[in-house]
Amino acid sequence: MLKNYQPNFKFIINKPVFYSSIFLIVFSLVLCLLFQESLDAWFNSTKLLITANLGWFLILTVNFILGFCLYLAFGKFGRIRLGGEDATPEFSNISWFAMLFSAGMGIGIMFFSIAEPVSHFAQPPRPAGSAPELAIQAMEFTALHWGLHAWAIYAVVGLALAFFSFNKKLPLSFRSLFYPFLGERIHGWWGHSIDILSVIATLFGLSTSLGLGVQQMNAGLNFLFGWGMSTTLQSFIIVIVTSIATISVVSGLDKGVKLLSQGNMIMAFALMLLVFAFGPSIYLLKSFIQNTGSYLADFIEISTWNDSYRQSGWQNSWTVFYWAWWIAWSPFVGSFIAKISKGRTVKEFILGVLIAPAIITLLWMTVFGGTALHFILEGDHTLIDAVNTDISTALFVFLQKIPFTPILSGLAVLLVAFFFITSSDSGSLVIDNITSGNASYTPPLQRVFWAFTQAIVAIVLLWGGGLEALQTAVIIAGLPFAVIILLMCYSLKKGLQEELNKHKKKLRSKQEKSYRDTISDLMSEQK
Amino acid sequence: MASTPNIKVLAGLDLSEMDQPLIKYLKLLSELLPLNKVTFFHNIKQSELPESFKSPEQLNTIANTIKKKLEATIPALLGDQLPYDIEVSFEDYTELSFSKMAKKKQINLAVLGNKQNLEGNGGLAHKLIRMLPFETLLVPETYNPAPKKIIEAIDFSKYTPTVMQWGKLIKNHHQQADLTFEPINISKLSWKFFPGLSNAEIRKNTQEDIKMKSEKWAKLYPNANPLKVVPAEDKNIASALIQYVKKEKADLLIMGVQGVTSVTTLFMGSVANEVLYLESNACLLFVKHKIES
Repeated sequence: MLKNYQPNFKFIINKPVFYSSIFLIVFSLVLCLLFQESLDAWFNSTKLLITANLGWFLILTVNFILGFCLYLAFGKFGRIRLGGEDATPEFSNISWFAMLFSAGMGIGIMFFSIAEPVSHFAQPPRPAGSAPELAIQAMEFTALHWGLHAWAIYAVVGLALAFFSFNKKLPLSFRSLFYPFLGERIHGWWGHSIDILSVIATLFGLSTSLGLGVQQMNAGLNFLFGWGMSTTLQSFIIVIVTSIATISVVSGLDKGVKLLSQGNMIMAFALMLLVFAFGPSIYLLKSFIQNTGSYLADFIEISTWNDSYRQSGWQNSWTVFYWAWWIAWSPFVGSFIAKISKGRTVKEFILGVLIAPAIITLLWMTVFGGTALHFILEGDHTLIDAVNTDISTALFVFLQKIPFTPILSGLAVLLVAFFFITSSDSGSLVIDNITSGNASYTPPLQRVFWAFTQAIVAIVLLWGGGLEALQTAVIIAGLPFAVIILLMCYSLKKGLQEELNKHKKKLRSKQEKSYRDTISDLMSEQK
Repeated sequence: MASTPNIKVLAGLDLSEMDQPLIKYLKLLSELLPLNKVTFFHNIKQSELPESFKSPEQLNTIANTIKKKLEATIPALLGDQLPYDIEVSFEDYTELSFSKMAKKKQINLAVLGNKQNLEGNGGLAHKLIRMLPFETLLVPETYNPAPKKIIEAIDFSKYTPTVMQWGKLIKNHHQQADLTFEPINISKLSWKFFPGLSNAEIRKNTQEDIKMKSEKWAKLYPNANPLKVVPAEDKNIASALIQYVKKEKADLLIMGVQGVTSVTTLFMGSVANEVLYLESNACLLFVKHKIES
């Protein structure tokens, strides 16, 4: 069965990037283990320190990125084609949209689709008058966190990777993005440092997702079989699921994993359709239209809201965390969407990546979050209690209110597990690519190594302080990467400008006389 | 096929420099296919004429003048072996005039120019391929007058038997020395929904796909030439197909008008649609129906 297994233990690595990344990861894990007693307090105070002092920077950065994306799409660069003038898109639009969505969706939408709107309703970001107003505000902020800003981050990273790789023929790597102003130095320590930051951001971003996923799986198993909620069980689940994911890498069962990934999409849509059908369907259709409208109407106001006058601290746990999380995920999602977008124009790319997946994500959030709020507005407050007690249980408490609870809960646990496997497998591929210096072949064991490194980081973070630790880790990793993305925007603009300057219109066709002239000449000949 | 079908051709002329090579090609085509008769057809584009030319009398005069001009040009280019007639109409919509003429003349193959270096956007050809209920052959002005290779594009869809049948028809009828036929399939790995496939995995899956398709082909068409499966790699199917046609210097590509993914590409454009936008010196035969004897 182990037909793909090759007893090749020699890793193919870019030494400075590989060893520095390992050193930083081990160093942070050792610190966590040494100061285990005080970790909880440390994570809390660090998170507060960063978010309170630098939260504004992340908010400004993501707004800038969205504005930059729109500038690229509708400005003079919009017609530049990724892969050159003659490149053609590799996939049809429908396939491309499906792939974009599958890249960006994952454990997060399972974890937060119920918990987030309910939490925003119970602990509102800003005081609101009546319960319906609170509900509208809750959905608006959920849309803010999962909507255009998130996809703008992926779009700009994906576009930069695609442009420098397809048009400038540089390796599909983060260091390539800085070629316009670092020049050949991208092959030295400057380049290594950028790649190291990408590795750290991806690793902590993924480990956070894995941590959230395993907490939710544990909650699901608790609801289904009464298994207790414990970090030990969660660590055990991480090891088991990571092992399943890595079997695919070494055993040639990649067809199985491919099936899992396609299964993910089918199961996710089935779950959404079932909740829609068994839930308040008409209310959901109405609220989707209204939520989209409210989100767009208040877009600028909520995007730039900084809680400057109240300083309630709400934003630090939500908006700032999300922006850091999306930034940390961007190397992972960006490299995937770059790979599938050759032949698209800059305009097509940005509008495709911004709009289509954002609409589907918001639809998902409306179906799950909107239904949860519907129950609350009808007077059922059990979901608020569940979110206050343990946020990871929210989905399963919610499913108890929908017919066929055991089937839907089982489907949800399975879906989280599938997301876990595919995220782990794909994430380890991305990290492996960066740390191997974009080698065309690396031994399967090397990818297994990264899959387990992610698992270990997730376990240590769970022991260190659960959700708080996961959020802090992602914020610490995301913040420096935000600076990288800003520099990358500058570099991308410079690169696109060069491309535009080089672009000379070639007139391929030979000028022929017009139809009108042909007929006129013919008639004159007759005369 | 119990007996050889006789093919009635409708050749669209647009009074441009494309007409001459197109008429010449029909002579060559009669050596490849059993042609029964050719109707050369031009529809006067009224919208592009000066106002003074738009009266019914003027239009009739223009039509007669065009007819006379074509009558004088065609015999020298076509020779005297192939029966033909000339029709000129002045409808508002050229595609509708084609449709009506095809019905009137019971046409089963439309032959149109596919301008490569000459000016023209090919918009009419796009429309006609979709709407005409029979086969369409697009001829570039850069075609090879001594064809050597014909490629049959195989996608295992409902059009595959038709592609094979047209190939067989040419095989049985052609008088060209050294004309070879090659069935090919483009292998495009569907890695949608799966971000994490490495290049090595993509290569491996492609190899498996090639093996599987070759076996399927051998089972379906044991007497046909072996199927060549070409990996599309990072190209779309249409680009990979045309690239192969160029590489092999093929002279004719026979393909189904819609492939296996016709449902999803109904709105987005099928492989056939994309092929139309690509540069190629090969003639393109888009097939829809099995030929009736």
